[in-house]
Amino acid sequence: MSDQKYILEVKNLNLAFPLRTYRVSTMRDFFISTLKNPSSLFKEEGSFHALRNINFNASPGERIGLLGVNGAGKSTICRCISGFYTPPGGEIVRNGNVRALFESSLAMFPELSGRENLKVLADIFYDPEKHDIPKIIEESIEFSELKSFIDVPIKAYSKGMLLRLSLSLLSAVPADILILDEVFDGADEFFREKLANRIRNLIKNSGVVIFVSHQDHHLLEVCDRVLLIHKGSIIFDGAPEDALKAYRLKFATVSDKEI
Amino acid sequence: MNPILTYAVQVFAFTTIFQVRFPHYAVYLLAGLFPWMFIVQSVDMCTGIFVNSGSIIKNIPIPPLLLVYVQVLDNFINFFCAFLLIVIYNVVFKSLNYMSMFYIFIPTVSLLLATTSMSIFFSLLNVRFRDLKFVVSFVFSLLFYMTPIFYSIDLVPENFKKFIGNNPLYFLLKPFQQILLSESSEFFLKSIVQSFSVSIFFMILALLCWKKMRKMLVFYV
Repeated sequence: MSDQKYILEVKNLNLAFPLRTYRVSTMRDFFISTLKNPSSLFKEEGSFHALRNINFNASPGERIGLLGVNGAGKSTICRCISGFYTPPGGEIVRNGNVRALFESSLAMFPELSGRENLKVLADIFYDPEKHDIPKIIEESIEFSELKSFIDVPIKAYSKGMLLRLSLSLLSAVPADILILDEVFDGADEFFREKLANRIRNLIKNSGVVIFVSHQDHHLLEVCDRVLLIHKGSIIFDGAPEDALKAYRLKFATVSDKEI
Repeated sequence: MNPILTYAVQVFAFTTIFQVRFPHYAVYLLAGLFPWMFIVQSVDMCTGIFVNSGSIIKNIPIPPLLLVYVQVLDNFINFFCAFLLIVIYNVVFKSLNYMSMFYIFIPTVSLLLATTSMSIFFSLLNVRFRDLKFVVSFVFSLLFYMTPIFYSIDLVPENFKKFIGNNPLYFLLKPFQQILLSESSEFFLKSIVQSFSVSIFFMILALLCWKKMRKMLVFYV
């Protein structure tokens, strides 16, 4: 039975990828590797552990930052929480709806205009029975300040404009669990401040924010708790200032090879 | 326009240049070529769809198979509109049996199911073997000549007839050829059973593949 005081509970999350699948990705590779080593057909070549025993809970109103070097497992955790990945080990209890925005999801339909993209994304992310979708779209257009660019195909947008468009929509209505994976990087400081205010308002409505960034000031601006991730494990869980100190300390003292 | 132009060029090449003496050759070609083009275009466009749409599968909460359904449906609308247009032309101007129009829907269902299943199967397999799309494209181009589309099965020498006549893709096309050439209902019924058997086979194949890869798909795209 889950504890309802938490919106999100992550218990013993483990995720491993079979290495052979990544090494052998074409029929040619498969043919050559089988010829070289026929026994490889019948035995596993080991696996890469992306996540190891991840445990944490999130209470209403918490703004949790995920910090770590590239490949540490931050986005993988986000994708597990948002339901894109179904990890074979562990359990994720979500006591509410999840809305996630990843950096790579910004330019989804490049041939469509900003307005059309908003319509498609709104239909996917919002329930028409619960939300007034046309109103959300209009409000998002206004918030994004894209004005006349809103009817231009988004392939002509800069990264910052794409960010404004997506974030305006995704942050229009409170979500129980809002995941923002490296989406602030590229926004100008004025819009970031505007967005940070909006996210603070969202949090007031009992949401949890999972926030991934490599920028210290973004983490300090948004988060009240930071998890330091290293090689798929949580090695620190605490205040953002302390987590940043631990991050510096850890990676200033380890060699590149270890990272 | 693509299927109509391809059809027009082939009719011109075979009836005017090669001067094929085959009764209702244009109708026969239509019955095989259009469904064939629908299969080939759908499989070709769908094979790489999961790999090419990796960012959508990883970032937008939509069922991945929807991508395949949309692509096949898009091709199907193309195919069906063009096909109906030519069939209506033949009914009006070439006195084709109009009753045959009603039966066309039966093999069309089977064709749609088989094509969707094949598209799902190859698109999933392509996630594991990224060069599969080249192989699929090559094999289908060979199969075009090994399937009675622009020639009749009756013209195939006896010792090859069993091999060419049992091509599973031919089973999908055969009912169309029989309907448009108004062959007897006994042959038609047998062809429909064969056609749906092929559909069911590909559906099972796609279902097994989907069951095996469903959870891992997002990791590999």
